[in-house]
Amino acid sequence: MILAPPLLFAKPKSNLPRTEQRAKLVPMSLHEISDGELIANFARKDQHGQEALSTLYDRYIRAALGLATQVLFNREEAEEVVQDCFFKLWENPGIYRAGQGSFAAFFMTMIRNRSVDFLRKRRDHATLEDEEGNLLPIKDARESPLERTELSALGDTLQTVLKSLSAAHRETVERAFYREESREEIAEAMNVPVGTVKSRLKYALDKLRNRMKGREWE
Amino acid sequence: MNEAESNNPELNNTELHELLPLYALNQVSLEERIQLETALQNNPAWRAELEELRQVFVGLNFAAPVVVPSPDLKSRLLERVAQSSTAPKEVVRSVLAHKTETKLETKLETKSKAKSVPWLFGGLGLAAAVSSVLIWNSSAPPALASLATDAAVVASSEGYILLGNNELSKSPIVVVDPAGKAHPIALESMKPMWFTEAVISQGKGYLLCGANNKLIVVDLKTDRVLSTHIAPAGSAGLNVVAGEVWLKGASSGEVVVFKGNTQHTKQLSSAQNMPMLDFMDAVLPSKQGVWISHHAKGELFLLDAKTLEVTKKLELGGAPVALSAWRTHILVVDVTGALLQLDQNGKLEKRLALPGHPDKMTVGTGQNGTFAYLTDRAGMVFKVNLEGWKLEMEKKFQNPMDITALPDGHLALADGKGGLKMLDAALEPIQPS
Repeated sequence: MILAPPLLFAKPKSNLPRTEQRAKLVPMSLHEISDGELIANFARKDQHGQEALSTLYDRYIRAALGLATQVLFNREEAEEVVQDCFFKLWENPGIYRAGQGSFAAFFMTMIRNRSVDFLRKRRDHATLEDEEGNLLPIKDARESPLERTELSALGDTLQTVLKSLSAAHRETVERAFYREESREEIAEAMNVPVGTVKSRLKYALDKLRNRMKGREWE
Repeated sequence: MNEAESNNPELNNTELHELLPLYALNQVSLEERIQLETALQNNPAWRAELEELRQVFVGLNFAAPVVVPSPDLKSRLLERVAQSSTAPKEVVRSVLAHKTETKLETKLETKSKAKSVPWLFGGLGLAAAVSSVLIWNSSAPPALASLATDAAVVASSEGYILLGNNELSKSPIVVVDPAGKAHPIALESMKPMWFTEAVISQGKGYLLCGANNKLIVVDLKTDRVLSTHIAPAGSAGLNVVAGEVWLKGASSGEVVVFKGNTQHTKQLSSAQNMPMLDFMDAVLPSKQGVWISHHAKGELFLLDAKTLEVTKKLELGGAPVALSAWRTHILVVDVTGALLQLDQNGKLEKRLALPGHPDKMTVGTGQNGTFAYLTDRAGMVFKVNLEGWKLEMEKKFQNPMDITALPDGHLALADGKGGLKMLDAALEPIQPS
């Protein structure tokens, strides 16, 4: 029998760095520090925290707005979703945990999920009224060790591949991934059998996957 | 999900391979998922492909053309942030009521409709009567569907019903109190939940999450998460024995017992990898000790409750995944399709072949106490007459994940696709009064 240290009823550990660790950030230029360190400053809820948010906003706003617009096809709604994501992160910085992949991968997944939620609620003629809460749900969060610059480069590569696909293949990927439409919804929208949707998706994703792996593009 | 495909019991390799992108997008049916995960176990090339697909999806988030924001977007955000930082937090407890039929409703409720409507069971005036009154820390109406979306585990005791949802949401846990009010509990988690067990004991609710390997303890009276603890890999079996929390790891092969402030671990069998769908096992206290199933090898262990020493090991065969006490007997669900009855020493008395793959069980209460109810995720609930030792009834549901008997003889069914359902002894939905 192995006796382990006491665990039951221990309080969960805070995800925030210790005060002295945060204090080290103050003298540095905000543009020099990592995403995770910027977010750690949010907890201060002061001018410095707002400056950290401003820096993070500058880093991500264009890509985030591009992704939300890709899902929603509506600039105003996309701005609303993106602003809401930044605000939720400000209110609950603990939703991102360093060590579980890069912030870039986490945040963009969050943007896409919230955009799809918005899209679904728009389809249901409902409004986003239940968004105020202590925790932000991030379903299907994709973990990746790649940082923003690497992911941005990967995104550029995949964008090139997407553009090289036929319109039908590209639309299938966009509907399945960005808008999270089911195979039946895609089939109905594109007026093709469900089997065609599956084969198109497989073909297109194989192209994207192989390009990502650095294989020769045909 | 395509209904025609979901009924197709076997897909060939080509068809399964073609489904891999949809699997990575969480767009496959339960049946397809089971087949794919089985195939993935023996196919490292497919597993590598799956990981590559997931990285493609991460990259696709950065593949949309960038968009330049409106000039005032940043100032609007910072203004909102500044206001939130200076204004005192306002917590509004809004009580919304919502009349449902036999499950928590699935559409958005509007504030103007808010009205308390009790949800009584068949006019019987039962202690466990449930209403759909919701309490939410917001002035805005919540999406009620989120309270019973992808219901996975359900437990009932001490007048409470405890529900776990297999989905990352604001309310992966819902407590229905003795007055019939449903209280959603927020829980932060990076991975979508995969609840395997729920137990109520002495005012606390215990839930096991196999995806995050966590034991979660909630206070049923205050709706607060008291603590979370690291659980063994593939955590599936859970019970509270004389104040001690017993866990079984289906894939780790371990038993972990929390006794006061100490944690004790007993390795019953070697660890082995398995998909989350196979996270199934059970813990059952008895006078002789604590029975633990290890379905991966078809075994049942009896452990001394004080020393954790194995006092008996039964090689039942099949895959025992659920245990219940009935009179002086032990009931064992074999997920390969059988119900076994053992005597208190573990000797096999009866075996009843069942269709499908049942994996959860509850024994009825009151006049219904001679029946066992078993759920099969593929869609069936079985009612077994324990005295007559025969399958009395089987009824189709959408995705029955777990079932528990209520004190009055009724049943609460966690249906992954149909929500939380209240049923009578004949498995018929109870109509609200």
